[in-house]
Order: sequence, then structure tokens, then C-alpha cells
Amino acid sequence: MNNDSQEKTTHFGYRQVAVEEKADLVGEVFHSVAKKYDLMNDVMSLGTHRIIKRFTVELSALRPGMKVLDLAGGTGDFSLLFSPLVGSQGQVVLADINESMVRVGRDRIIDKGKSGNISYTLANAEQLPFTANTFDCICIAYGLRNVTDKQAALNSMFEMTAPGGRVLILEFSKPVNPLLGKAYDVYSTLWPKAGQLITGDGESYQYLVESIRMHPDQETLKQMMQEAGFENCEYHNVMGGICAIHVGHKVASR
Amino acid sequence: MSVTKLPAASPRPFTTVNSIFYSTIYSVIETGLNQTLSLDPGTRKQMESLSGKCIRIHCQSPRLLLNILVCEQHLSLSANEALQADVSIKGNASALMKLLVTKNTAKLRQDGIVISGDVGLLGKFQAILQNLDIDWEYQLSKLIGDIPTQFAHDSIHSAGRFAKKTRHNLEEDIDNYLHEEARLFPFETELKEFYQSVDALRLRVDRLKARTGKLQSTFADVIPA
Ligand SMILES: C[S@@+](CC[C@H](N)C(=O)[O-])C[C@H]1O[C@@H](n2cnc3c(N)ncnc32)[C@H](O)[C@@H]1O
Repeated sequence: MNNDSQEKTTHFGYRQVAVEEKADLVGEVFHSVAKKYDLMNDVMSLGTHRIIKRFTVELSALRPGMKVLDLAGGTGDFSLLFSPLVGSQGQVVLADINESMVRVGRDRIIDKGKSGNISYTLANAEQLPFTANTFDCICIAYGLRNVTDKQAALNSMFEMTAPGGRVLILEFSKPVNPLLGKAYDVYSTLWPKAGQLITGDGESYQYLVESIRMHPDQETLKQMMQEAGFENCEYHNVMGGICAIHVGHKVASR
Repeated sequence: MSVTKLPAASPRPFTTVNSIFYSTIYSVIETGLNQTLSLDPGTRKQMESLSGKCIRIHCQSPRLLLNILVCEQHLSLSANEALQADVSIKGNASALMKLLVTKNTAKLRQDGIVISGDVGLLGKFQAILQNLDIDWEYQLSKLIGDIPTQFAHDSIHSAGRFAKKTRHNLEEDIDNYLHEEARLFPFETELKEFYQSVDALRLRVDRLKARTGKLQSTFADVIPA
């Protein structure tokens, strides 16, 4: 990343783009793939994304009456899973930076007749528009990778987490076994082609492949979480580290 | 029965791999339980009175952690130790199974079961669970879909008989499954085998369907519609 004197740039995959531009570009990417997103998820996670999601939800330790933020919630998969857990007294907030994603998410949720305790907000993870200490759990799944200033996002998430609450970060990560890493690397070079076939949009998946490779590895992300103030941070590698779920806690003041 | 305070935190009993494995199984059981509950408004109402309560089953051999969280009118299963339990039951598998089916909780200590937390809650929960008549047959039919049914109606006579036979086999399969499966928690191999047989069955049905289609088009030429 460049120093302050020059125009600020950030990586959009491997391409250097102006910081303000990235949010727009990311928006475009998800706009164009929103609907066929699920199928590609299956391709990319070797059919395991549903069970990884469920496992992540189990880690949320949510119970009736709690408040949860589904950050970068996109089409609302997680909101749908959280909703019955927190029940009618609880609250699920689906927040995403992209309006069309939120719209698709909302339509899907209403279709399934599960809209009771779910609300929708347009929000940038870097500057969350909520009251501090609100959420018992904040979950950002496959979203942090796309955020320009990840540390800012983590800081903001920490602020919004209620004391005693936790944050969950599910993201593609670095396979621990170098051989698996290599194999997955090769596999992921096929995604743009698969993406082209399935969604008619190979470029977006080129971006995904690149953004995954640029994403901080398990230990780095853990440190960034600690930096933001989270304690007892740990991560679960899934499928040998192809994905990782980081958990951090905001300890109740002693 | 010994009632102790819940331990604040204990060492993690699972690796992530294990947890994901249990997560898969729990999601299957959870779906089954909740679908059963959805057909049983009475039990669902009773359940609601326990909303927010969490019962933890801690099986020592084989090692297994199961949280049952009551969320209003349905149940959520998980293996996460971070979830605070209101009552926790520790013991080995056979003793825990007994707990599931017996109404007599007097001999628990002899069986090596240790209960900590809100014992009263456990009694209430057990009473509700015993009312619950889990309809595995229905679950299975949902899993396989209604292709066999449709098949029997649409097909011409001979193929229809063939289909009935398949259905009969299916019923036998279900029957066997139900009888072998008196336990609430299926073991890994059994579960695998079960799903394999379901897959095989599905393939068989697909093949049959294709055959009927073929036969039908052949006969269409001979028999006027
Ligand atoms: C891959 S999707 C994940 C959707 C959902 N969490 C899931 O797992 O199915 C990534 C989402 O992140 C959103 N996103 C990207 N940058 C963001 C930001 N700075 N703040 C909030 N959301 C963002 C995108 O709009 C997109 O919907």
C-alpha cells in the first residue's frame, strides 16, 4: 500500500485501484453474481459450504433473546440460520454495503416467511452505524476479505460487540499442508472458468481468487483481532485451512 | 444424585474435524426433531415454557458433547462448549441411553451419571421428550421425495407392479432401518450406510422411471390414448 502523500490505493485482487473506487468495484462484483452465488459456493467449497455455515452458527453460542449482526450478510444465509436461535425476543440485523445484495437477501427471507425478527441495514463494515456494545454476536462470513481497511472493520466490530459477546469471522484462508495448498491453488485457478460457465461472469471469480490469496493468513488475522481488542482469540481450520473460522471475545469489564 | 456448580470452562474435548462431523450429524437429528415437533402442537407448546434453557449431554465414552437448546417452539443442537448450559448430564453412553427411555431417575447415581445444575429442568425436559414420537418414516419419505408415488400413478400396468415392488422394498428398508435404529444417536457407520442405501434406492427409482417412460412411449404407438 502506498504512503499518505500519494493518492491512496488498495488492492482489488491484484489490481491497484483508488480506495474510493474499491467499494464501487466490490459492489459491481456482487451485484452481478448475487443469484448464482450459492452454486458457485458449492463449487468452491467442494460442496461443504452449508455444513461450514452450520458449524459457524454453532460457534455463535446464541440463544433466545440475543442480538446478532450478520455483517456482509449478502443474501442472508446466516440471518436465516440465526433467526430461529434468537427467537421472537431476539434480533437479527443483516448488514451489507451492497444494496442489491440486501434486496436479494430480504426477498429470500420474506419468501421463506422468516422475516419476523430480521431487519436490514446498508452499512460499511469499516464504520458500523450502530450503538456501541449492542451485539451479543457479530458474524462476518466471507466478507472481511472484501473490506478495504480490515483493521478498521475489526475495530468497529469490537466497538459494537456487547461485553461478554463474541465475533465470528469465516473466511477462505491458508491451507496448513503445503501440498493441499498447492492443489487448492491449482483448483482455484479453475473458478473463473467455472464462474464464467455458471454465472456468466468469470471476472468476478478472478477477483475472488485473487482476494483470497491476498487475505491475511490465520495467525495474522488473529493478531489483528487482538489489536482491535478481542480476547481469547482462536481459530478453527476447516478442510485443512482452506477455510478458517476465527472467534474472538469482548470480555465483560472486570 | 450430586448437584454441583457448573464448571466455568473445561479443556476442549474436540478437534475442529470432530466438531464438524458432529455438526453434520446434529443438523440431521435437529431437522428430524423439529419436523416432528412441527406436527405436534401440544408438545411444542410445552416446549415453549422451557425456551432459552440449555441441556448439555456430556458422554464420556464414546466422547461426545451435545447441547440441546430450547428456542421457543423448537430445538437447536450444537457441540459448542462455550454455550452456557443450565443443566449438564455426564455419563457413559449406555447409562445416558437409559436416561432417555426411563422414567425412573432414582438409580442414576448407580449408573455413574453425574448431574450438575438445574435438575428440575431435566425432569421437565425428559417428560416432554418422551411424549415426542419421532416419525423417522416420514423423515425418510421427505428425504427420498415423492418420485416413487408419482411413479406408481403414472406408469402403465406392468411397470406399475414393478414400482409397487420397489415401494415394498422401500417399506422393508424403512422397517429394517427403524428396527435397527432404536437409538436416538446413530453411529457413524450406520448413518453412512443408511445414506448410501438411500442413494442407491434413489438411483434405482430413477432408472425405473426412465424405463417406464420408454415403455410408455412404446405402448403409446400400440394403445390409443
Ligand atoms: C461473499 S459475500 C458473503 C455473503 C454471506 N455472508 C454468505 O456467507 O453467504 C460478501 C459480501 O460482503 C459485502 N461487502 C463487501 N465489502 C463490504 C463492506 N466494506 N462492508 C459491508 N459489507 C461488505 C458484499 O456486498 C457481499 O454481499
